Amino acid sequence: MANTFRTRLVNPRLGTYFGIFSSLLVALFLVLLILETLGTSDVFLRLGVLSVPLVLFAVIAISSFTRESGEYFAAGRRVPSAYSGLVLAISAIGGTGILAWTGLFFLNGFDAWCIFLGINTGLVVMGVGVAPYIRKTGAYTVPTFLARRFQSRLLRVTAASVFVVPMLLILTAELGMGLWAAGLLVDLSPLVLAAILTVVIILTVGFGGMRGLGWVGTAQAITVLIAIVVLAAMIGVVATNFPLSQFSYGPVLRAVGRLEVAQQIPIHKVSAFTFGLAGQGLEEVTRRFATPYGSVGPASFALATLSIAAGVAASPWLLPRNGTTVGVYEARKSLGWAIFFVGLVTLTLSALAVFMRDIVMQELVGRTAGDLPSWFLTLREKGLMDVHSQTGALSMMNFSFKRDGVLLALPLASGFPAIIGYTVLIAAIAASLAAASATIYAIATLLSEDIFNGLRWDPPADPFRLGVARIMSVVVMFLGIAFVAVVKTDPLQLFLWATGITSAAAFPIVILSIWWKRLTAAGAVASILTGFTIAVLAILARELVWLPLPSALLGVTGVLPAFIVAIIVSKLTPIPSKDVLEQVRDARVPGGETVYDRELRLHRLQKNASKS
Amino acid sequence: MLEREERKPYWRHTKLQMLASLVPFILLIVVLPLYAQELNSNKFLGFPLGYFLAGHGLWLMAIFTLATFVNRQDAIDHWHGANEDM
Repeated sequence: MANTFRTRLVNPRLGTYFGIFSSLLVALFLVLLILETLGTSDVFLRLGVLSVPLVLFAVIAISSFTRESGEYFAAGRRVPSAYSGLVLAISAIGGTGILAWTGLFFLNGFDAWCIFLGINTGLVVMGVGVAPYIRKTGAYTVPTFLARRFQSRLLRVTAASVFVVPMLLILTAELGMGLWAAGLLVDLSPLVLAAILTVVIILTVGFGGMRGLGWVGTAQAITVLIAIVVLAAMIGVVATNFPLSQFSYGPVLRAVGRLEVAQQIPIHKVSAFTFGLAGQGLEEVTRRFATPYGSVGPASFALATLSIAAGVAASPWLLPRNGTTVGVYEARKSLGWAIFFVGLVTLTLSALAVFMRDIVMQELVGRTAGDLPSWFLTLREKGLMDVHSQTGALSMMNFSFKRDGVLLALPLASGFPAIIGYTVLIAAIAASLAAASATIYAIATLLSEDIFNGLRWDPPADPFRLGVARIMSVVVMFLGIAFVAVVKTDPLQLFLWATGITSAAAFPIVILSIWWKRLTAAGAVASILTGFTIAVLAILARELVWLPLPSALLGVTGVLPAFIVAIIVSKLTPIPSKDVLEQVRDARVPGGETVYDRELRLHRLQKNASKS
Repeated sequence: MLEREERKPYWRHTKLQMLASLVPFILLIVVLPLYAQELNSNKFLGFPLGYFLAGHGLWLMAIFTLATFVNRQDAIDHWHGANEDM
């Protein structure tokens, strides 16, 4: 509403609610810590760490239930920018980020920054060039935005069909990572764990839609922040005498550098297009931490950054979050918050990786195979670490580490109580749930709004509309579980493929549709199909035959052709109609009512008038 | 309320602001890591400088870029009367 004060729209008790949630979580961890010192059984502690946060998430999800489409698809457009940014950040990071990035920093050092820089840049581009305009149009999905911008149903269905593919990759990655972390936390069968996660996700997405995602996502993000920031503060105080270890681990990093020289870890320089980030298996530490381009070449580093950036900036699973903010100004601000939180989490993970390297180099290197500490033996039993040599003093090269297990290894290696390790796992599960829920919501909305109801401009009545969306979320959830059972690819690889495909299929068209008025519907359809086809064929071709680039970076090769095709086809087709141009002008100006909301309001008025 | 004759100047101003925000930042993101090794011989807060700038530095730069963009774009909106009337 144009004449409503924005402060009135926001629930003033949000801070109180999430303060209570945070206190409950901290109290839970402290109680379990006390129980651990009193000798309570480990199974009980593990179940407590898993079940209580999940029950809290489920309660928040149930209390977010709604029957109104404005609430289900846009959380009533009254989410404050900091909360929106927090959920956006945790959905972009996901469980893959929490577990894999720590391992990448530990194993690849400097070269792992390319993923963070990609997401960071993607969020900046989204905030400056995409989000404010998507927010002004108010479309619930990216294909709806494109369809209304070009007044083309063909474009709507094409975009929806194409955008589902990268989102399914992200969903598979996040569910896979969440299940893996849950399997490490409790000794239950994968089927039972899948059922538990399914219930939480279906309650989150099916009951409240975007509203549920917003509030449960905030709780999940708080869980992640508490777990990893507290861990970093504890180790920071011990190692650097300063709790903000994100900014004080420099001396530890330099000490690691001196140990690397002493232990003769060589300086590697790989060729420009090498992309050798650690995979899911056990890998040795063969690179120095702060030395760049030991496993990723300079060209691949830049290409990976830009590919991830383009994929994130136009990601159909993250962009709908901007529709929940109070206005265009808040949508811009929420991206600033998202960058802040993504950076905070990544810097924390990089600090934890440096601390882990320090511990490994000080406590493992130089020992004999029969003299290894108990924490190492525990982690070896779990398959998270291994030692190759059985004779003589061990060097760094004699050890191998599982990328995704490094974060879990740190609290154990630091000698902290077991509960700290379990909180790290629940953080990874919470992040996976947040990212998986956001993706399931995005796919389900896309299927219900753009495919099932996509051929009609006027939306159906709320009960039917929400019913379809809820059913789709259940269908997509089971589809995701089926994919996890069949696809055994590395989650990080899936993430890189997804951002690569999105960069080629979605980025050119999302950017041009806002910044180039002359773009036509035919140009948009041709561009989406060109970008998607080139990206997918290049990735498949790399898997079958030799190509100069790794498949993780091949998706981005479709970006330039997609831009060129969009421009050429648009120039060859007639200038868009006055109505279309008026839509673009409207979307470019922050002032005035949200375009989609105004259309719905007028539609309702017309309907009421025709009834009476 | 944005007047009809203000549309073009508003959009020109907005485009310039977008370019001013994005171009230097993207250039920095691509170029700075290339010089990380050379910069690593210097220290800042105990960190090798190249490492610090590529991680912490570019993060702070991103926050600065977006904060200035939000501030400047809001000023542009108000100047041309294109701001939200809430």
